[in-house]
Amino acid sequence: MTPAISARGLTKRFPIQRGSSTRGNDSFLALDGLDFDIEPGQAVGIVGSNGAGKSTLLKILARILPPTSGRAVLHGRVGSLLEAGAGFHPELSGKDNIFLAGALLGMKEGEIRRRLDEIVAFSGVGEFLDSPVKHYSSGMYMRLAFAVAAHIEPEILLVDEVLAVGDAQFQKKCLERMESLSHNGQTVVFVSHSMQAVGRLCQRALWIDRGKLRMQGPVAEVVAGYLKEGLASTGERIWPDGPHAPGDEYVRLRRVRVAGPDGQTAASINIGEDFSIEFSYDVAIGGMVLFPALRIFNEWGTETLWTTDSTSPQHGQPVAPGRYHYAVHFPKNLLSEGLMAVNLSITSLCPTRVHLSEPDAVHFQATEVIDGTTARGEYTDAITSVLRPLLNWSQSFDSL
Amino acid sequence: MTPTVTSPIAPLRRPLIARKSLPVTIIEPTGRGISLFAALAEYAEYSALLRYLTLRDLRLRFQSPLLGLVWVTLMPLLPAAIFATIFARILQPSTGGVPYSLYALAGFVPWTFFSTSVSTASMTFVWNANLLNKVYFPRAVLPASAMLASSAELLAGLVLVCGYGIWRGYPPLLSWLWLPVLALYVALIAFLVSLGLATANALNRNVKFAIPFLMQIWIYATPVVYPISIVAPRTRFILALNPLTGALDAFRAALLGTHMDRLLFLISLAATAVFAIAAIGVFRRYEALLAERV
Repeated sequence: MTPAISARGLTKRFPIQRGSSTRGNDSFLALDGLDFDIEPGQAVGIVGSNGAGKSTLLKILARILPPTSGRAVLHGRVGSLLEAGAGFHPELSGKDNIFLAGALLGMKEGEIRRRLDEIVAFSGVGEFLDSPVKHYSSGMYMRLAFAVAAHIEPEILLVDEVLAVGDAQFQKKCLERMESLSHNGQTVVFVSHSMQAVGRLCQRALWIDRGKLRMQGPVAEVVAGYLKEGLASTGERIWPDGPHAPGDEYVRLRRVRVAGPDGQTAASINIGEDFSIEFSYDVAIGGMVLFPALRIFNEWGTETLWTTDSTSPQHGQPVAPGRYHYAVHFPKNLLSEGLMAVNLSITSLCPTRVHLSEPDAVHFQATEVIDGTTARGEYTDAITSVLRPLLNWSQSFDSL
Repeated sequence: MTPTVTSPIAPLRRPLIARKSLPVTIIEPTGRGISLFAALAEYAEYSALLRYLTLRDLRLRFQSPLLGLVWVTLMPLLPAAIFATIFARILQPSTGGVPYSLYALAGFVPWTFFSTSVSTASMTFVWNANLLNKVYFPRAVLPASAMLASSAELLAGLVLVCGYGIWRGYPPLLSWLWLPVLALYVALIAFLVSLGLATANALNRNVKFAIPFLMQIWIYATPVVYPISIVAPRTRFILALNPLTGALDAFRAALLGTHMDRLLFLISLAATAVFAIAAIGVFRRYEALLAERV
């Protein structure tokens, strides 16, 4: 059978832009010679850490970006859902936006008209159909956006992480819809940070690691391999040689690590205990004010928190050349469970210059020991919130 | 069977028997894009998108219909009135007996359409950078829809100038039937200029600062406020290299029954063809790169 998608040597190189001008040779290899075939009717998950090239691959298949070299052949109409609500205009009514977004996804007018009732029913916006979408709640907006995209029914559907938004019930509905599409013989390519969603929806998976195809095969094997590596990572990264370390001529990253409550390097932390993230960097040219910042992303790719050195006495002070060591202390009962990716960036302002931004500076697994002392207490069911603070509850009681 | 990473991968060949009903998309590096014919066929596929984008722009512009109408009427009326009161008194250009205010309005109606539609349409790639990065669609739909939405102004302007002409004692002529054709011609020029500028704008943001200057120079390189007859014959041919020169001269001739310089029109027509080749060439060269460069 002719594969629905067939890629050979697919490579993408991005020029690195510094300031406003593009320098000749600086480039970043986002995808490096990918070869794969996807059979019609399969649902294939693309997994990998942040910045591995998953979204770039999807954008190339969706014809948004051209590859630098290599080739892909797609058999069938291609629909892509890279952002729910792309093309929506806040001033237009829900109905007008359905037509606009549908046309943007390549639907013909007649097709949209035929499916209008179905789309409206799926989205559940009902009586608000004729009011401008700026008055919608974000949940309604997302539901409408996904509803349009879910009804394009192309032979090949490319989906990027749109499910990361919306409430749990709606996420379930989206997954069900995608499941039924793939049962109808449509090919679905699905990029997600959620191993649960990939595992449920897909039969096969591709694991992309730093632009290279690391593994492909049945979904269970690939997901297991990917997760195992996340767990096996040492919780520490060191860049010994100068010019290859993340950074620029001013600042170079040296070391990042996650430390448990005992100060030992840890690949996994217990959310019921304190932990810290430590990093060191070299400043070669001083005189600037540097803002080191950490962002933690959960496995859905949701930014859970952002923090900078605002509590340090040196915050906002110009730096001298030398090596700087930081330790950021995280209190217990802050994060939820799951695989966390730490983004480390160092920026100076006026003019804004990002000296380094390392999307996966270090990974760690946040685990929970259910012993009644964490925020969940004795509750054992799944919790989907990104934060898990232990808050003070009080109760008063009157007998009836 | 799907090859796995460990097994050698067969070189990709074009499938000999593709299922006939399925369209085939071949994704390759830029420079080996699809043929112009295939590209045009794709635009036909996306005609609904062009329509809805145009309707969106129109709906947003005429959210309060009365105010929108006042606005589109004032746009050509105001500069025409200013030139009629100042320019006409100082220079007293010979307009072949046509009142200068009518003459200027007949120039400003197509000119205002041209300049506003180019100013907005040339920004469409930059304004829609997020959309370009999230959805595939044939890109020229964006400047085309902005230009089409502006043509509401041209339509309102046509009614305005015809009405003013009748009021000033210029009865409707048979040549008025040419006006829609000439309006389309001006719209085509506006689209070509916008397409080229929008692409340049996406590649280099400094272009947007040059556009207002370009428009200021362009208005004087076009017989908007002066009749082409006051220009020395040799200079006339240089001005004719500007596609709008022939278009506006013909527009006035059709509207007011004034003399039309056919040679000038033919030269402008040829200039339009050159503009078309250049604009479409630049656009097609960079079309695939718009999302990452913008």
